[in-house]
Amino acid sequence: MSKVLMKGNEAIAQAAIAAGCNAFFGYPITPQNELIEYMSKYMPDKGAFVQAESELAAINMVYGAAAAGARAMTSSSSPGLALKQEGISYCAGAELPAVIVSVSRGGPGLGGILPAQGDYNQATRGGGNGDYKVIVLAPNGVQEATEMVRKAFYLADTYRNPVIVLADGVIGQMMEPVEINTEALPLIAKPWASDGNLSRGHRNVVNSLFLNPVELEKHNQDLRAKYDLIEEKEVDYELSHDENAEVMFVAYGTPSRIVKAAIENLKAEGINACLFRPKTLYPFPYEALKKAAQGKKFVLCAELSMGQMIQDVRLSLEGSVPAHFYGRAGGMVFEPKELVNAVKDHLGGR
Amino acid sequence: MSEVLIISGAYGVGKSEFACQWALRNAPCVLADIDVINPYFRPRELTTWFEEKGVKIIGSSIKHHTNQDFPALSGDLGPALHGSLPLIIDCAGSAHGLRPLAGFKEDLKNAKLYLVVNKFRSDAWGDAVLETMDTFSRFLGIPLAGIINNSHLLDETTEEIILEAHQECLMLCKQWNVPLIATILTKRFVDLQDKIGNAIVYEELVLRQTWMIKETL
Repeated sequence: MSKVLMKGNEAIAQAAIAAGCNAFFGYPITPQNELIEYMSKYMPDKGAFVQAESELAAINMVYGAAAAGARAMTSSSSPGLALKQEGISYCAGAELPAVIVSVSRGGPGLGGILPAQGDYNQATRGGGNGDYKVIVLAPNGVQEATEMVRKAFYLADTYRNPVIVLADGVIGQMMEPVEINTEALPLIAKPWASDGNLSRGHRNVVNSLFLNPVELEKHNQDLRAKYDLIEEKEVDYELSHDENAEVMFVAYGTPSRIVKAAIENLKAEGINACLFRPKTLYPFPYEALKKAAQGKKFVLCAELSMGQMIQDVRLSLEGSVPAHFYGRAGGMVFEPKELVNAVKDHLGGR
Repeated sequence: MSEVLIISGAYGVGKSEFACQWALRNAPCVLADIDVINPYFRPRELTTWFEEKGVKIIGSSIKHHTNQDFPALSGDLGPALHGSLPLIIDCAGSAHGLRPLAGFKEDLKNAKLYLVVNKFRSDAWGDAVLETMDTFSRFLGIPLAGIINNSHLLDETTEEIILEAHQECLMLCKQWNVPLIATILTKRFVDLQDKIGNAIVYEELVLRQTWMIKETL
């Protein structure tokens, strides 16, 4: 298949269908509406599409479809992701593979419809109850968003765990050349699914209710062991530009592209900087970041928020290198020159 | 009555960017951004910048909200249709995008309708264009005045892509009996002007920040 020009939202939807998504449940919210619109048009040929009555209903429909063995997905944007948190916890508790795409916008509350990254904490820490983790992938372009959606289905099936693809409004709304991988994503056997198959000699029940505390503790320990495995195997990041630079930016999603432009501008002024871009926000690349930061004068974490990922950056660095922050919020997107000025300020006005 | 140009076409073909570029070339003029479907990358976000360049923007009537889920069609559009300055109207893609003009059909009898096409967008090339042309012309009650060929793959565009799409578009326009008004080039391909003849060269993109593009266009 040759390249075409697609908007992020429609490319994500097409990639999900190509990855074998056969059950989609959504509720409209800007700036991800094109995704659900695309699904409403094309999903009925492949499986189930339901425009639910709310975000809560949509995530619980995902729970039901995933429990029955489907490759299930929902999508939303920031306030919608907040509404889905209870259902995500239930999916994690019941060990259900589910893909959740969130095309972030400004908050808190209803906020605005422009791009923002104020959902780092709710994606990586979650708003649901209990000890659970959700794998979080963060694309920085339309092509990568399609690849990460495909990977999300793979990871969800492999680990029986919810996976969030955390995009932002720019990625959802932006047009870019893209080539969707149409190769079939192999199906992973789901002998645990509550799919009505009675030939196993028993009835599969999918549940997150454990009234026996011994059993519930064992369930939590098993989940923890799974998260340990995910943290060992699934960390992903990009380290670009001169690794021996004096300054290192840390950014994910759209800001990482602005950082790349800022690095070129800094280079023209004789300042050498590099970029560390987490592609998985959970598991966060703690060790790799700490290693990459060694020898730098400082790390500058650039986010479209008032400072959320910076906490993980500081946890990574353990005080070994100074960590500074530059952020804009509310839909205001910083320009490369703002980052250039921030670096120069921290270098003492060079 | 002002000279009115309606820019339309399928969704995502580059209508708004063309409308911006055309307005800057024809300043002083009025650019009416009546896209009530797409919330991002709108000319109305750049009202002050345009006005400094002699282009008056008509956007949402809720002036302090440039980005909205529910942009309100401005009452300034009616007077602009009868003003002295040329008026360029940037519509949303699909026939839905033309709906804000339904109440102005009488005022648009002498308007020109351009359709922007892009070989690399779905529903924006070949037979799909014929269908779009027919739908739009019937909706507005005016014939199509011309095609703008905006075939590109952003920074992955090559000379071959441009020349091939231009030749293909010339053939399609002949079949459709509609003039090809222009083929769009970015400044990296300025040397192709001689081969193309009716090229319009974008020096810079108005609605796309430079950091959104990996390589020079």
